[in-house]
Amino acid sequence: MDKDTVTIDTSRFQEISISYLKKLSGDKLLTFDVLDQNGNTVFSAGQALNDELLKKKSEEGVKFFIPRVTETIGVYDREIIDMKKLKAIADDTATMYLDIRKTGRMSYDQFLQSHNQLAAIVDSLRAEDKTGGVLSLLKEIKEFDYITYTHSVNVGVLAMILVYKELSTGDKVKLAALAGYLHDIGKLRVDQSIIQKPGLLSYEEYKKVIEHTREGYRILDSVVDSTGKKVVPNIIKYVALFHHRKLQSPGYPFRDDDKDKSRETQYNELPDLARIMGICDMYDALTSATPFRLPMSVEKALRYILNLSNYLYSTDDVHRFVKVLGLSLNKGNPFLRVGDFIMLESEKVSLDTRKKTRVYEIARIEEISRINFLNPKVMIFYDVLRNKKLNNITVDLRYDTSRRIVRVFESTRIREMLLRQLK
Amino acid sequence: MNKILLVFDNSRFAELVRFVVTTAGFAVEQLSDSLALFEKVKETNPSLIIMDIFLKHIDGLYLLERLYAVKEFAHIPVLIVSSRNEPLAVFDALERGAADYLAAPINEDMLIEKVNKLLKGN
Repeated sequence: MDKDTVTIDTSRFQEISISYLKKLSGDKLLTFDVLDQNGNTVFSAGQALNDELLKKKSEEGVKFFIPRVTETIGVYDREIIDMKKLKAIADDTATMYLDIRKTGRMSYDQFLQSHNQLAAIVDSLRAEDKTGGVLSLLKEIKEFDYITYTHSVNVGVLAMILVYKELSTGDKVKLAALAGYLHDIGKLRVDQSIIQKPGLLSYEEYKKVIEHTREGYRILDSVVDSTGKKVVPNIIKYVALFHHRKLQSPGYPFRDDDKDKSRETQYNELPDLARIMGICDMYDALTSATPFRLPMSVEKALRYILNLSNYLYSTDDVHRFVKVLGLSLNKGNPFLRVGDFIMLESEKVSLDTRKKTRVYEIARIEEISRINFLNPKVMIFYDVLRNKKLNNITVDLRYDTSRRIVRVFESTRIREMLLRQLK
Repeated sequence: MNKILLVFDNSRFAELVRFVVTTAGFAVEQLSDSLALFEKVKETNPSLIIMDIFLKHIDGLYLLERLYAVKEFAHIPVLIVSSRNEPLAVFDALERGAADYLAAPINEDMLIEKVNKLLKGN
């Protein structure tokens, strides 16, 4: 290797010293790729470093480069996943799902096949996609209807990119992709006419739809390899079972009435991936046409999801979803706008009793930037709990992280009501 | 004659609202299975729906959203009467098209006043 020539793009990657990397060595896993001066990966994200390895590489003449921080602003003119690949996987899925619908079971080969397909996509993701890139789902291809298998591919892709963008390791990304891809597998045992019914479901039909979560668990639990060993990781089964649990609304499968625990605690005890999958599932359902309504635009769907914080999903999870995927899904544009009326949530701790209460305020967005679109500059003018107009104060949420946006008002009636308050 | 449709799964709550509204002289229909809402609305053609958002088998806010997604039902005002007394729930209901919201504990006079106001606007 030529020690002095550097062919890597130095405007995008910066050189780091070996001593910096040494500090990272030990049990911790790398959260980013380390490249050499020619752009080849030396250590990939998810790997643990040790001093010996570093010393050896350094003696070989390797200089270490990592992506520059400015990359976090991201470039949003490239597709993260190529549409051809998506279409190919959708076609394969259609055949596989048809088989499973017929037999009611999933074979080990089918499980392996879906695993390999998704692993190939995960491996083709590039480091720069972590900070930018546009994410399109299957519905951009017009010829596909909204059927269980396109939905499965979409949710798998959403979950995969979400976890990938959070700088997780390769295995975790594959697991998320697979969990999303298989979350609705139980629907293959539910009558198709019920799933596509336009009106409200009757109680009997509703009970059958609910069963799809348990059926999914059963199908995945019964996949065994040639030696009879169960092969599907537990977390994937849990996602299939729990992705319809909700925070305030009942959701299903129904929970046992545990009087010692609040709904919130019970919800938060669910596996991380199952909670986030619920949101991915909801997002894809909103942006697809269903028998009773037209598909929502990306922007509207993201605003709708934000409005579910602290209702169907916890504020933490909703913010996690829109923060990481908001820009990529909406072609790099923030889905909140200047002039939007929003509700802010914060927590107040009483000085003497230490009791926590939630405070809600209404504000208007005054200034917004792309990177920090969830933390705009706002003007707060109304206290909801005390039902009282406040003196207008302008707060930059970038420096006030205690206040979080939980609602953005869409209805013209509420907007007019709030405008009157402002005058 | 103005007919009011009550959609409650909590029977104690339903009894109370039913008592207040019938005493004030309104004709009332009650729906016991909230999943059959669409058929019931078509059948009775009510001038006002009073409903809870805590229902047994379905989320009340979701039901409201589905109701207003049907064009022929869009003119019927919905008054939410619920034990869920948080600012978020109130705004969520209004955002989904509810005409008004009354949180428990129920004040009888307030309930009658709201019902009258909504029926007049119809």
